[in-house]
Amino acid sequence: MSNKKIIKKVFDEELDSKKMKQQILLKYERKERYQMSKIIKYSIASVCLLLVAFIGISLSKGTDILENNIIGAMKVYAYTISEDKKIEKTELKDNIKLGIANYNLTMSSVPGYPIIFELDNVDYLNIDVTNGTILNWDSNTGKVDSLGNTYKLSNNDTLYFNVNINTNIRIIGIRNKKEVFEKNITISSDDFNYYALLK
Amino acid sequence: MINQETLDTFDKLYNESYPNVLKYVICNCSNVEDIKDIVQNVYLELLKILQKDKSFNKGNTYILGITKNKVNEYYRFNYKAKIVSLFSKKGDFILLDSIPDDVNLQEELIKKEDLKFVWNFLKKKKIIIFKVFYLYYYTDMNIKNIGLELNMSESNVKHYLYRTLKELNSIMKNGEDENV
Repeated sequence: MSNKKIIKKVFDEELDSKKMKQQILLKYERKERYQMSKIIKYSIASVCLLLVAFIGISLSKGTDILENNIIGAMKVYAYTISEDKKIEKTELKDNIKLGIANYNLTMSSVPGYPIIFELDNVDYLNIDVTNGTILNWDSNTGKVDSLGNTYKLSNNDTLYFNVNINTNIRIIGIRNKKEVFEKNITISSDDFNYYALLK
Repeated sequence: MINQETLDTFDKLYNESYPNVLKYVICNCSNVEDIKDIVQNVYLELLKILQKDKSFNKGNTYILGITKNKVNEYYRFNYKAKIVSLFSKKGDFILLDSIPDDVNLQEELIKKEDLKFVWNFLKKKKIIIFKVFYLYYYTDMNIKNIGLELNMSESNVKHYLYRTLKELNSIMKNGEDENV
């Protein structure tokens, strides 16, 4: 075999066009696959970012919605007389007239009609009394303070009311500086009993 | 994925242009190791064009244009080295009429591992020797044209061919491989 043939064979072997073509096609497919995976990766990343942004926005809006939709409330209790003449703490419900325990200023151990307030999702209650006064009684010292006709109640507490037959206690629930509800407790009486009606 | 139509066009263009592309790359590269990379880049570019342009109807000249660009691009980005002819000066070697045939590579060379051995030997030589061997033995170019192509004297071409062949023969005969 001549030198020429041998050297030609060497080049043929190493620079064979068929082999080279296969390598090119493989490389092209690999490149395409890489490009595709890159596109997919970026798409997934974009979708994830969008999703995160969407969730973030939804959550922040959701918080607002939640915050705005929580209905501020309160529970009001008064002392009533049960059928067996016992005095018991009873929750005042809307439009239910309850007979409240007779109160006699001279005989009672408390300074006025006690009404217990429990705040629920409100910052405070604005209490405004018509035809009556609000009293505060320190049960430890026995000291009684008149709070006047209006009072801002920020915590669950018992307030005492000096009532007449047509005393109205207006209660406004405030949350985030906004009025969230308004309730009225009207005290009425017949010849023998006092009644409280929450409206 | 490459569709069949594109693949057929590519096959046709590839088979027609490969010898010229390879020759151009070999004559203009700075390193044997770069040849395959550059050739592949040329045809990858061609595939990209064919995928985009279904009505591609340009021929060899266009592909040679891509080849030139790819060679320049390769060295601009990969090496930032200019391709400078190493042999612009004529040498004063003894002019040989032909490469003597007494320098015969052994018959055993035809074994695959021996072909690889010769390839590695040529690869490790100066790039100009590789180019001379490629043009003389593979593309059947005569010594005069090789000189013109590589911008060197005919005597230099002959010198490189003779000396390298002799060295290779001696290594193959003696089984020496220290120099390879």
